[in-house]
Amino acid sequence: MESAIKAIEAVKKKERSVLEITSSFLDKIKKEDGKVKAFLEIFESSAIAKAKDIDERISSGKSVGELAGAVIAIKDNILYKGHEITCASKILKGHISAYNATVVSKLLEKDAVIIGRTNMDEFAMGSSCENSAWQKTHNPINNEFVPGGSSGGSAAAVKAGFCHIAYGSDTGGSIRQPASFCGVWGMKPTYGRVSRYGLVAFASSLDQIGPIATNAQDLLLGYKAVKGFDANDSTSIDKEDEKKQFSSLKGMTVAIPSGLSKHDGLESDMAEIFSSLPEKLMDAGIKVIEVDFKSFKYALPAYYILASSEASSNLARFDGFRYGMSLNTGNLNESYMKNRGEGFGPEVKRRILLGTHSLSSGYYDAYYLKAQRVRNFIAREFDEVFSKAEIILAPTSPTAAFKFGERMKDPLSMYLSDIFTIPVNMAGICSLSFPYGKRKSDNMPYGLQIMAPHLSDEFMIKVAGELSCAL
Amino acid sequence: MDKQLIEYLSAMAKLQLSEKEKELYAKQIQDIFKWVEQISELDLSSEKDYSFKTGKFIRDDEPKNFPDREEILKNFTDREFDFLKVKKVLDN
Repeated sequence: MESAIKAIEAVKKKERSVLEITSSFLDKIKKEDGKVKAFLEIFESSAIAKAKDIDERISSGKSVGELAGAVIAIKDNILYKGHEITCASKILKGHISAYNATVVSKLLEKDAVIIGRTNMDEFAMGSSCENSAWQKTHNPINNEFVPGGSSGGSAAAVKAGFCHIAYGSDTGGSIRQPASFCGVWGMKPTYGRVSRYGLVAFASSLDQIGPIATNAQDLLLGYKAVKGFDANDSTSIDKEDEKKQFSSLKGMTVAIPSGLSKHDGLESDMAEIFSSLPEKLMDAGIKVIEVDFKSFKYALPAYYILASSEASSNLARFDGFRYGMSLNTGNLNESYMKNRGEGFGPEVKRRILLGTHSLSSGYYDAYYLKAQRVRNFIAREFDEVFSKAEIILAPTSPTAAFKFGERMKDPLSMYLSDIFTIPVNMAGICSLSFPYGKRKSDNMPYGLQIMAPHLSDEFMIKVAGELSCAL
Repeated sequence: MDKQLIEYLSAMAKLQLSEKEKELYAKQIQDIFKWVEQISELDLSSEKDYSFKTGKFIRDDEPKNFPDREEILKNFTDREFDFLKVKKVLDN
């Protein structure tokens, strides 16, 4: 597939119109998305109107934004004014966004075309897209496998060539894990770097919007287009990126967590690939240090306490009166109970119960408070490692994509899919996944995860771009 | 984790559950909390609560007008004029 950067160049040189590019994506989606099911809705009329508007400005010699020619998809939890948004949940069915997410405003201002909204696990809770109330998205590489989640629709849309760049949200790995499963690039920016205004909250202290693309250059473009301070998000960072410039891989120091190959759940092919990594890095002139990460093991359980606690609070607003679905029978309390009981799916209910329990009196100290301290432990451990190494490399997920239904019965087995991505969200640092190696038996891709300190997002993308060529 | 606790949680969370769901969640949530217990292996006695490195987090509470009020009101499930219509809040 042509990259976003090439498409933008072609538009600049007037070799192609934005409408031509948009129409070719629309045709492809109509022809092929019946099998993939990446999209919940195609924004055909607004996409065509936007494309025509940009083309008219070009032909009349007016200036256009830097993304003119880029076609974008957004996850179904990012608000786009006048369009439906459901978070793949029955409880939000029919809800029309009253305003644009800051990310959407930025994209439209820069003249990107937004082509549709993509499937996801309900309220971003899940690792396979199987928790969507609407449809199952299939991995475009092989339809028998899940695309990962929760931003599985976005990753599948990019892999299938339905758009140049798709945005997802990452609370514990929800961009990086599906990117890994679909063989594409996916990035979770530093917490606070991309505005969360207009992103439907799951766990506010962990959520971050980020891009998914087919290559490092498009990923950088997609990140730079949406980053920056926003007064509408109180957790937004009012600072520039670190001035750390990338020059060469030679002489860099990379940290690798030790003992991962023995880790429960790490697939043997991935373990083999990962254990041969230090040698390859050293061949490229990179210094490798092994670090014993205690936090990887404890991040996952602590995350489920914190994320579920925040979710139980954030999802309290879905009462069936102010938004979406409404089954108002009986008195007020009975209506709430019924709307929420029928509107939310099993995983969302499980996490609301989990969070309610963690925050309830008598358990708060034992769970929530302790998990907060684990979070601090993790952040300190990352600080320590980053004082010795510029980046950390780890597998994105312990396995390549699994098949439908394999992990739905046991929630813990599904949670383990995010064991290597969650520490990053807990510490608020940036990270991305890029395709690296394949499972021998079925050729499904693995992802390698690169983690970097706060605000070194652009540096990280450039390093990853070089690494993917060098390894 | 027994059914009684699940019923208590579902009442607090305003989440109607079927008998089957209550049984399932009681078992699953018990398993999850058992698994969460492993965080007690870490020595956290000198650890502080997590605090963010970045961002301001607390801003002044200055009300602003939302530009498209009607767009919000349109999403109400039941509306009378500009009011959201809900069930009776107080019983006689």
